[in-house]
Amino acid sequence: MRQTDYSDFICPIKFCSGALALETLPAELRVYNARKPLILFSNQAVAKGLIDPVQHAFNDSEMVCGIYDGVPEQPTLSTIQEISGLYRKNGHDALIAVGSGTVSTVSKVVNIAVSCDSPDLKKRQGDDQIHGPLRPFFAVPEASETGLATNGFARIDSLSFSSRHLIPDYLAIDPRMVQETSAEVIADSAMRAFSVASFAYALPESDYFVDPHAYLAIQTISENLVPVLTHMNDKKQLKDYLVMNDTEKGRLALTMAACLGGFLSFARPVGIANRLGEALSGALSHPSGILAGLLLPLALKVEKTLKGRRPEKLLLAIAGSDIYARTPASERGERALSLIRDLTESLFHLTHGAIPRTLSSLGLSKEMGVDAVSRMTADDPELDPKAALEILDLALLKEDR
Amino acid sequence: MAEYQTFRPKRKIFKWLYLYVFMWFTGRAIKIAAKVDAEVKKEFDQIPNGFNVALEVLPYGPAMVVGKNEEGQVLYLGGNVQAQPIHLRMVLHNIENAMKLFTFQESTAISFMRNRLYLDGEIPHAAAFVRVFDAVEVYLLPKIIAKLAIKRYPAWSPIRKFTGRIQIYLRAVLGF
Repeated sequence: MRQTDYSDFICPIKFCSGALALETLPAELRVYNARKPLILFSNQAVAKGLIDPVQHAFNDSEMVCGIYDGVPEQPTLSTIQEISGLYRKNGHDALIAVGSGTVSTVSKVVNIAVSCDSPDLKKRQGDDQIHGPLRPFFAVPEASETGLATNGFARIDSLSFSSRHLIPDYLAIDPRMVQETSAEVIADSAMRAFSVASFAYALPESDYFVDPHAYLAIQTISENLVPVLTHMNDKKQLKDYLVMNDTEKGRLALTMAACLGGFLSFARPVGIANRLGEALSGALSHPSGILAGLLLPLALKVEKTLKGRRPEKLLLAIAGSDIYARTPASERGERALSLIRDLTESLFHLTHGAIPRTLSSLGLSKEMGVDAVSRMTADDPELDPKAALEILDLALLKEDR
Repeated sequence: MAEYQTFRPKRKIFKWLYLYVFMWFTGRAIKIAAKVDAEVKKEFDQIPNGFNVALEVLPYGPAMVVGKNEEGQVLYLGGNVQAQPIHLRMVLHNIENAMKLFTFQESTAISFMRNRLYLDGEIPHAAAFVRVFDAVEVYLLPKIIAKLAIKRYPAWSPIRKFTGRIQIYLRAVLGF
């Protein structure tokens, strides 16, 4: 194993995952000397009825909470101003984001607005422009977690922020909050994290801190995604009401892995598969996590040649020690890529074709690819367009099967 | 359209009442167990005289205070933690954690491990108190439930268990 000669890492979150995780929120708020939290719910969280379990968790606590239900999917600076105004006017002292997606972004930016002396958010945009800790910020993710809750990025309108102080202080993953019924949403969340973790883990040199987190995310998703999707609509038995069953544990594990993926995306730059997935998501009308999962084997294949990535490392995390030991060293890389393709194939069958198994079947064209790559390079001049185009060429040649 | 509202938490009265009765009875049972069971008496012998232990639930209680007076007698001192000096506090973070523990869905060891309660005091005294608590649960509960509540069910003789159980139940109810 080649160890790196330089490593840096930060993990300031306290995680709590399992039964009654929501009920830990009041006690954890007391640790931060907070007494009056403002709880923000995403539109999706409101539609799924997730307000009730959160309110129930605060019953018999001495905390009077503010509830803002329905953070919009496309928030603007006026949304931030409105929520910051409510926070100040009602004397809140902590923020809790419930749900996934933009609610995390909005909470982070509101936290900047209410914690910093200057109300001008433009002064805080960019990398590490937030000096000192912000007010307490907790997150309660749901099954569609995109990783935004656990990283230190936030982007709203034209302003983008990046700081370790944006990472939440506490994360509660509760079984009541991860009862997602859509297989596509669960698969999107899991495959996004899987791609991020795979790229982090397949780096040429082993990292003391990134590797264990990435390994855990890959292993958790490999072990749980297919069983959860297979049994997600099974009727509950009597004992399932008394003890958490394997599917519920699997859902929790997948949400945890999605959070780890978000965290890794802050610790290391995300791989090209995720970035291409995001760039193509609009044109192909599919979630970026699913597309990233389809692009992952191709991207690892191309980056093995161009950047020395080592897909063979993934085999241990994906397949376990028995298969890893039985596979000759020279074949481990190809075996790992083939298992990733098998995973996407299983998703295709489990969702009766709702999740595609190839990009070419979605109508990906050369023009779409070139357009996506040019947008990516415009955003990030350091990106290598050659690798991106090569990956898309492979996808168009239907070599992703 | 998003809406802001203030939420004032409600009280969980029935759970609070269950815990109140449970703690009241268990506190009295500990006092009696120290008289009828040699093992429990030995555990209390290690605790200094004038030492009070509180088991409480945040933020509104209920609570149970058990202590030794200066003569070495074990006493149940009621549910008011403010009324006397407390030398060891075992605090459950919230009422749901207390319900998990006192409806025997989790053992004391598992609850500690899952950070459902915290300790303010000396660990050896807390360990002794947990052993006392476990012994009292063996006396009070049927084996099938007690096995869920404690780490390891003891191999006591039936005579010890049943005579102790009858004495503890009777004397705890009658209060002598």
